[in-house]
Amino acid sequence: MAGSKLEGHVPRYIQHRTTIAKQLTCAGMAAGVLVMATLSPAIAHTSGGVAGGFASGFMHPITGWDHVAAMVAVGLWGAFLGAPAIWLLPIIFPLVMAIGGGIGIMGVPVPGVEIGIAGSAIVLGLMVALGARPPLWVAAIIVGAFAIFHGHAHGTELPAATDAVAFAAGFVVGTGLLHLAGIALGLTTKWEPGKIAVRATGGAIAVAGLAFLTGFA
Amino acid sequence: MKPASAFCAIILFAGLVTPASAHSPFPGAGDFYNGMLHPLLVPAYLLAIISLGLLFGQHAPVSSQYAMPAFALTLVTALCIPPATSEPIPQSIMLGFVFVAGFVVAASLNVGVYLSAIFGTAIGGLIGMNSKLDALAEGLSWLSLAGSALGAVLAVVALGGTIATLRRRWQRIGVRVLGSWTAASAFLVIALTIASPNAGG
Repeated sequence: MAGSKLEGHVPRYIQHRTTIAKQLTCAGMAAGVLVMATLSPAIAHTSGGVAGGFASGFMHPITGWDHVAAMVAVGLWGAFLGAPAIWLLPIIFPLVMAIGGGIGIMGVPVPGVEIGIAGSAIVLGLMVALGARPPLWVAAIIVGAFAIFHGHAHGTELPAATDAVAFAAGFVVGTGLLHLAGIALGLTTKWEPGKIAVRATGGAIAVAGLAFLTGFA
Repeated sequence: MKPASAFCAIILFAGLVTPASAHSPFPGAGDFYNGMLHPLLVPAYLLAIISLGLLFGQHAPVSSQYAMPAFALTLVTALCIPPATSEPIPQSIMLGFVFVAGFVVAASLNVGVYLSAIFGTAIGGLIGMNSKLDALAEGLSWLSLAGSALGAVLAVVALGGTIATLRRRWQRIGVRVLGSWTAASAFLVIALTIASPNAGG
């Protein structure tokens, strides 16, 4: 009614639902970007000019389930830890992983890389499943160590791509989008059912890591 | 935007995804437009342009007021003067600047007016010199060089200008993430070039 005291007042439960709707939209759009990026024909590990190099690099982290599990777990854990971890991890992880990649490209051996990769899924999955919230510097050391392992593995697997820049860019973008997908899923921890779902996902990632470690997957 | 509308928009865009073919000139586009596309179709140049756009836009106008004109000036100068050597300058040198620029963006460091100008000068000169050699090798006319200059400058201005308008926290974080990605990509290629000198593009 015009002139009413209630005019312009939005009840808190409606504000809350609007905020939830916005966050769901953002999370959905982030996941949608990842889906869109995978809808075009994927050509992994073959030559084919710039586009082929980028596609090959993009598919490289996505076609290894041990890498996918760990990268999504990093995003989930970052969302669980909240600010500033939630935005620090997507910034720092690619750089540390590139260092590991450089070490792998140079042929410097790192002992137990495959064990480290499987272990990353186990540890990060457990961190998410248990809702662990260590100090930021502890989380950064754990994630950084695993980033070195993953980067080293990718670096040693780097194929003779037609265009190295396109391949490297595709590889970094693919890894980054996996993180963002994990973060988008992790945003559902704002609600109680979401917390349960995310922690269950962490548990599943940890079990998958165990399967990778023991050779069942 | 309502969640239902956003969902429909995502599905619509997903349906529009088609294979992308690089390095295919438009029929009848001519030398000028092919030249405009050249800096955007060579991955190393595109990475350099993206890193410059991020650097210029993140702390604009301090990081762009001298750096943007410096970039444009050195790019045009390098495209105009005869090349000093017939061999292209190794991409790893330009990627070194790209790595540092990306790292600076990821760390959200404001390097000031003069360091930004140095980045713009260096990358503009390197893109210009190698683009000149590319054009000479393919027998392209001055129109192609003019198109390359315009294309590169417009791309940096467009990206930097867009970045400069971002105000929300998540947008500024997204810029830092992009800086991290460009730095990581450049680092990998530099490592590959050192390990295998014939690789690296």
